[in-house]
Amino acid sequence: MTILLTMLYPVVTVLILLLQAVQHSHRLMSLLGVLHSAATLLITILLVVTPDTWKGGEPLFMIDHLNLLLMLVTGLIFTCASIYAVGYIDGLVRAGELNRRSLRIFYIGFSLLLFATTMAYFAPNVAQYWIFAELTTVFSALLVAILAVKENIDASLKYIFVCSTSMLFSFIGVIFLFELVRQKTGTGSLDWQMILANASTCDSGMLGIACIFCFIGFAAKSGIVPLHTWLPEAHAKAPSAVSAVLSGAILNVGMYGIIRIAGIVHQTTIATQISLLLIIFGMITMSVACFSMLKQTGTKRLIAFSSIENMGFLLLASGIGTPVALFWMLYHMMGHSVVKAGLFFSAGIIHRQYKSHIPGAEDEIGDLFRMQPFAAAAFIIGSVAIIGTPLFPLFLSKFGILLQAGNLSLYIPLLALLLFALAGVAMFRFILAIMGRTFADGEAPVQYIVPMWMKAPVVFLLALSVLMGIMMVPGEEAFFSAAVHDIGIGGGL
Amino acid sequence: MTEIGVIPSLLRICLILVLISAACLLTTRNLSSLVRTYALQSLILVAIAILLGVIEQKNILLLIAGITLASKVIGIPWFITVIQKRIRIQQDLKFSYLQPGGALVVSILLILLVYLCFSRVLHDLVTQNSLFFLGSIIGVSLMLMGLIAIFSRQLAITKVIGYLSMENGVLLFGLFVTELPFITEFVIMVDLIILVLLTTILTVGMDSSIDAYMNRLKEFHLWSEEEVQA
Amino acid sequence: MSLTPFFAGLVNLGFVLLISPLFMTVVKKVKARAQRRAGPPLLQGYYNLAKLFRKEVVYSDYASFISRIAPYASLAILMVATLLVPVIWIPDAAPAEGNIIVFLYLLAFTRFLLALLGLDAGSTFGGMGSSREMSLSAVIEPTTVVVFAVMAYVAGTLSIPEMFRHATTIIPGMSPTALLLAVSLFILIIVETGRVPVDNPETHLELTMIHEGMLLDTSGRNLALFELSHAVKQTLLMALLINMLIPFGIIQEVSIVGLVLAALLFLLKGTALSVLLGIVESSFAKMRFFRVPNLFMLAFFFSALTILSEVMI
Repeated sequence: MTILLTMLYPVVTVLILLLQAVQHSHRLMSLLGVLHSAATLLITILLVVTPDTWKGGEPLFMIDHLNLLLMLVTGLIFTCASIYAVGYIDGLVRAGELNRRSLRIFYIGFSLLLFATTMAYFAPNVAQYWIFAELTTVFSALLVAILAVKENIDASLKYIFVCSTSMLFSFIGVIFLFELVRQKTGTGSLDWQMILANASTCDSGMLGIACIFCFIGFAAKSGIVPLHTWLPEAHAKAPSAVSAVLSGAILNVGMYGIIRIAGIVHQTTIATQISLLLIIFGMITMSVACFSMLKQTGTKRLIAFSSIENMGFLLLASGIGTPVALFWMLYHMMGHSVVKAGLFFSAGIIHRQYKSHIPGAEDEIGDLFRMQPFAAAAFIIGSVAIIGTPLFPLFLSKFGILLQAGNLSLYIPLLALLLFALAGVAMFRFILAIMGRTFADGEAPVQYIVPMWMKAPVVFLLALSVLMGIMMVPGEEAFFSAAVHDIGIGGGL
Repeated sequence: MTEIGVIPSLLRICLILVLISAACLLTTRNLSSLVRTYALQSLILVAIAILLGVIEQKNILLLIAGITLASKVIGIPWFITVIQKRIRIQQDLKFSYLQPGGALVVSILLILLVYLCFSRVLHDLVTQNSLFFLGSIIGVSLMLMGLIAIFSRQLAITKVIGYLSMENGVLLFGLFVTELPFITEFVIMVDLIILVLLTTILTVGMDSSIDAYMNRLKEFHLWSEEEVQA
Repeated sequence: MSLTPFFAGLVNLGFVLLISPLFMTVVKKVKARAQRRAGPPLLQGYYNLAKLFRKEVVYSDYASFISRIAPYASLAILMVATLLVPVIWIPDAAPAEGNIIVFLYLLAFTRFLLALLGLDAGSTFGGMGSSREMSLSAVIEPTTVVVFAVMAYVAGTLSIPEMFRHATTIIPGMSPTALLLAVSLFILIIVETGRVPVDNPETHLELTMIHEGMLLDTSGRNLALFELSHAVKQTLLMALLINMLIPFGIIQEVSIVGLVLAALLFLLKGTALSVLLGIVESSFAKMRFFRVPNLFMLAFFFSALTILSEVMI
């Protein structure tokens, strides 16, 4: 039964790809994209509500609560992004920034990216995960470079270089893991479950080196300092639909790998050292990101650095390693993806309105409330959410994780709170700067009419985040706890 | 030097030759000699894979040798020479962060570091089979030297060659440490990425002289100003 | 007191002094042939030395005692160095006390005297040659020390005759160390004797001179002595390389037949190496002066790799 259900993923993908290949009309192509993402989301929800179908193990895919949770988020973000893309890409084509010939490549790339992400999450062993993570890098770089101007291509090449080079490091880590399991069981295997089962009895030196090497690769994928250099460029230059997907779905792929590694080392003797490593890198990432946010002048770069900051915070949570911390970490991942996508969508509307005709110059934003009131309101609400205001989900997760961090050492929550305050200051300084500016008469650009396709996802995502922040769906808490258990960290809330 | 067998000695010589080719990659300024050195390095890797296949009696190693020969000794160098003829780059004169002399000293330190780390971690390999231990050290060292090549060089094509030699290093490491079931998929995956990178460089002309690149930019900008029917 | 070491030293000295000009001429002939010229006759080296010995010595007005004693001192020091390197016969007791470190610094001392000589004449080209030579030799020194250290490590001893004795007992060429050692020593020969790509020994443009620049103001007997010293240095380094790598033919007990055979074999091997030197010289162009340290860094990498390969294997 499970096989049938999960085989639907590739079947749907192949169908959509075939249909995309023969399409000529843009509207139909974009609707096919929406169909693909919506179908993925539906299949995931089906899997969630019928847990008996995948409780037992199965050979081709590994499905457990953690995978399904992240897949749920991914499906949601991709669906909203493809709905948004219907209007956004249309605007790009009208403005002449995107060539009509690239449209098909864009939509095929989008679908392939969704497929690669799905396969990466459901991969039963590390090697398959590695291969599909590399594929997500390639496809998302293709999407970043779709606009075919110099900065995009440079950003996309930098993205591929940094991520692929680091993934080579993590491949060495994978080889070490294989060797470790082979020493224990005779025939090596890279199954996540098998590594988890054998981890506590393995040679800790080799396990430590394996984890450090793996960490390098996955950290580059998630944008952890010092491997974050590709992130601001790629997110700022890509079309906003793609930026939202990058921040909301692809960064989580790297974080998933790190979570699994943290779970593997949890029972071993090197757990404290690896936790220390994760906490230190998390703090460094947050500091670099928050300080960089203070001097940003571009909207999307600001949001990109906020993504780096949140990824650092997630790393900190995984370093802390208690079940409560991990519970809130998964919650934070979900909340962050939703809010970040909403932010990127509103930033996209603003970018469409104020795009400067000089290549490489920042957008001149002025008269925001008069010209784009919807986008302005959405942006403000999104910024309020991303900082961690109560009513929004990030407040709960930050609160929970910082409490757990306080058990380890009081300096961590102190420093983290300071950095969050800095981030808040940065966001609001930026908002105040752009909201207060007005154009002289006659200099304002033509008002950009925002199609409904672009407004709907923003409303939906912001409403969803408020909902998430206020209440928990029944069964949600149990699902999250089960996911934490699946990582390998036992114990309840 | 306790082993007197011919094949292990040949393997050792090949491994040292691999490191020498990596050193040449770090210091050459001429692009065609860079590509030739890379082709030579891949050829030595093919020889190592064949020799290992003979020692271990495993057919998958011969398969890997075949794939490497086809793609890395013949295919990719040919592609890069095509790119070089198309966009006419001759020399990669600028080194950023590390001059070639400094790069060589750093690589020696890295080799030493890898040796120290691995001798502590891989104890049983050290005692069982010193040849395999040497192979794993040289694999990781080659990877690190490729990394130095990537960020001490300026042109994108030389960065791609640095990435390719990193992949060679990981492959070497995988060959020696253990028998990995997914190694062919890995090789194909990385070659795919390389092809994407090289095709991008070819179409965009990233490393060409300023005039040719400017022309292509103008081509893109002109295209963005024309009116497109929705 | 046994006379064997004394005898061995004399034989060594005589042999080296005799064949050094021959090797130099072989290199020149190979280079000429590569340029499709006929080249000098093989005995040209001896004719040149004889001619120079007959000529009058002229000193610059500013020359001090250094110009008068440096040629003799240089050859004398190299003759002492020759006693340390047994070329065809390894006696039981060495003719001179010393090891490879002493050898290294004897060579360095000759270089020092040469540099002083270049400054002594008070001409600009001499000074330029001296400064260039000193800066280059400072960079090659670590490489030389590491190469000699590897040789000592492999043989387990610092004394050169012992090293050669050890080399005769092992099968050569089957380890990466031997390969790397050969290449490193070859690069060392090129650097120490100032051959292309480091320095062109046949240039007549003063701006490109390094070694020749220091000898510009010598004439007559002094020049002959310096030419001979140069040739002897090359032969000694070639002997190091040959006897470490392909030592068969070198004898350990004296016999006339053995001696003659060893001499002939060494002549053969030395000629082959000189031909190789000539071919290598013809294949490269002289490097720009500021790029030469890059070549030295590559040589240093080789030698460090040699030590690492000895330790890691």
